[in-house]
Amino acid sequence: MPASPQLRFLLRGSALVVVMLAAWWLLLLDPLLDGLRVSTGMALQLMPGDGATADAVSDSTGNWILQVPLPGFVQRSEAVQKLFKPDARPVRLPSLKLAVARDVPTLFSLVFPLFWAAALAGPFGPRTWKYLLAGTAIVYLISVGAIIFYAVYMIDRNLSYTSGAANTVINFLEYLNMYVVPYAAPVLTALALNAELRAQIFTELV
Amino acid sequence: MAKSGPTPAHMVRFLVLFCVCFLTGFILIFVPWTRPLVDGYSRSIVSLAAALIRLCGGKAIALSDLMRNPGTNFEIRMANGCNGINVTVLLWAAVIAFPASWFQKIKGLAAGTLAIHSVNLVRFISLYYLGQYSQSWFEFAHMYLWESLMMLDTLVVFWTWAYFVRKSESMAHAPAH
Repeated sequence: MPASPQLRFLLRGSALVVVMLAAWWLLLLDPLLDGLRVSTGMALQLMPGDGATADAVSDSTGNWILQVPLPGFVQRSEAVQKLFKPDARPVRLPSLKLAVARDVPTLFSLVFPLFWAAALAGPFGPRTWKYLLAGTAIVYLISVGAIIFYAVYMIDRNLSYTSGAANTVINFLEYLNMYVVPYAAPVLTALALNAELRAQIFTELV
Repeated sequence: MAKSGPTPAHMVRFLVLFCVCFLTGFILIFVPWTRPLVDGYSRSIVSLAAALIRLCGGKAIALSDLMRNPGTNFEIRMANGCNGINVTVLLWAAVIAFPASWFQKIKGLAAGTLAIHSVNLVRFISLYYLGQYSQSWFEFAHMYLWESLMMLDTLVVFWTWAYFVRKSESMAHAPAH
């Protein structure tokens, strides 16, 4: 048994990553994606615009079809109106249909196995199960939030709604959303919830 | 020796500094004028990986950010996000936010960056061979397995550095006999 807690964490964490990824890929992915899709549909209903139009369904290949409500100010914008013939304007466009490849929600569901691996690799105590549950709920919300942001980003790209600095900001946030959040959020969540692990890393911080 | 955990004030300070450095780091790698540096770095990893493979008797040629097997024409590209820069930003943010002297921080940044990019080199070479064996295994290892392991490695690299910082501080403050 390695003496150093860092090496112990690394070995245990790496082994757990392999085990959790295998369990996620082979057993949990489909039910997780179904749960995320239903939650995404509910979250879309809460977005500005006509929530009644919101929907999230899965097609036969597993790709998602999102019906994303558009807020009134977006519907009235020039970016949207110029999609239609001048004599038909102003046109009401309560929602947009967006096809999302299965790979996208799959990537965002990576937060689950990675969180479980990072959480279980740390010191184990009587409160471990409590923060495992709390952390799973937190990464669930992060995952749904990431999918919603991805949908907003894709709609912005399709409509060319933002420009200039706003467009740069949304591109930057989408970079973080796709390349950083799925990997960093679960580890940071485990660190934030596991006081013992945090204490080991930051002990005698003063 | 009794361990004293971090106080909430210290954790808040660390968290605020970490977030500031994290955002600054990602803004810096996102702005167009750093793009040539990041791309140049990616190309240099590809060249190094190809040279290492040839040194060990394998077949690989570097073509800008592509590594190609001249025998099979299999190609792998070092895309942005695969070059280890993202986890380096996370490590740098954590090291800079941690209370330590600037000398210790510079040592941590240098050693940590070297450690992370060594692992990333192994990752890139392993993906090169895995991709020639199975595309589906390549996708899985590329998107999920290696990225997850890199995140854990980064945390452990930071933790190890923080341990040595605390150790050197406790030795410096130890009473003389």
